Amino acid sequence: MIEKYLPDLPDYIKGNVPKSVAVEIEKLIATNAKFRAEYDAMRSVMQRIEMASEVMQSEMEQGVPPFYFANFADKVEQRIAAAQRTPMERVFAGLRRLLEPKGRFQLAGICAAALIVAMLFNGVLRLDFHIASGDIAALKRAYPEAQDEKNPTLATRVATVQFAAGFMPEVSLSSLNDEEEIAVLNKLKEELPTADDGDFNILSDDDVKSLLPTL
Amino acid sequence: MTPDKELIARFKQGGSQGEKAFTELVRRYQEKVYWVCRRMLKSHDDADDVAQNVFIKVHNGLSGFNEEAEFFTWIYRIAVNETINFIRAQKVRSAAPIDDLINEPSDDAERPDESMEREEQRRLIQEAIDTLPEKQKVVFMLRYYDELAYEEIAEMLGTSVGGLKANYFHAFKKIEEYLKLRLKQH
Repeated sequence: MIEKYLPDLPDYIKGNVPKSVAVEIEKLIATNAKFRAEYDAMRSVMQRIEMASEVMQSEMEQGVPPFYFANFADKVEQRIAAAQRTPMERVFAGLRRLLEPKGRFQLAGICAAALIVAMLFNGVLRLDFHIASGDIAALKRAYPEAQDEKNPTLATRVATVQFAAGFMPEVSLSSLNDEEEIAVLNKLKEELPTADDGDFNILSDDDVKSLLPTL
Repeated sequence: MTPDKELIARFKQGGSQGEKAFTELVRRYQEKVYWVCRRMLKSHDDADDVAQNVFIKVHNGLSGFNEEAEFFTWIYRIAVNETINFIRAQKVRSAAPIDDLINEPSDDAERPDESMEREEQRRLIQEAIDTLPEKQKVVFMLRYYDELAYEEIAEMLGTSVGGLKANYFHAFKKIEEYLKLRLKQH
């Protein structure tokens, strides 16, 4: 008899049992000490749960952000729409998101990063890596006086030329000051072969003028 | 208020009217679904994630939904299953959330004694509920907090009313035992 009505105790305490069951339970509470003890224990634990539940519910409600339920259906719709998109539509949706006010900063960041990468790539492509040991040796052969430690000025000039040779032409020109440029050009002029030497021809002023714009 | 069945029929017809009908169903059940998930999960973010997944599943399965069944029971069943799956996945990923591992000093010291006692009670009850076996916990939540009828829970979980009553009763007994044990330890 007790076992039959024990599972109904929680519902009885909450007032959720039919009247016929409530009558039987009340009889047992009045007549059966064991059942009465079960009832008291159950009522006590349910009171504690009830009190704690109020605090728990209030804490959980505080954790719900403002307007959460007002925006919930929109969030669900967005997720459903995202799942139904074709790959092409996803790309366009991504681009559209970038053009929205919130995404503009991301777009600016992506553009800036792409520009930096392009500039770096361009710079790497235009770097002159032809600084072979043979070039340096050839220069030393061209200026044997440069080995003479007693002539430091000339050694410095040759070192400048060697240094400049490591850069692409436009950089090397800009890396020399006026005085060094004149000195290097004069030296080169002295050392350059002339028309009398055979294979090389010195360009006339008119030739230089016509070629320079093209170069 | 348009009955659920009519909204479901509109959804099945498709088009923009169908989507509107679905939105109406979401608005109608969003709070109930959220709270079913939230009471079994530890954070709002988890409950939000699971509740959204529930409605996505509803959207995917609504075309094949048998209109003879109760929509409310069906959506609750999806919510319970999604929540249980989420908890199982969480258990696999980590034994305890990081928040529980970090014992940050709380502002309890500044609270009055009564508040501290209530807070302690709340913590103990929460712990006791957390120790319940999965099925007992689900039955306890659905019956105690959502006040669903045993028949509805039985349909959702595919068990008998008698079995559910026993589960519900034993859930209370387990909570009682846990509280006694903790009080002895103090």
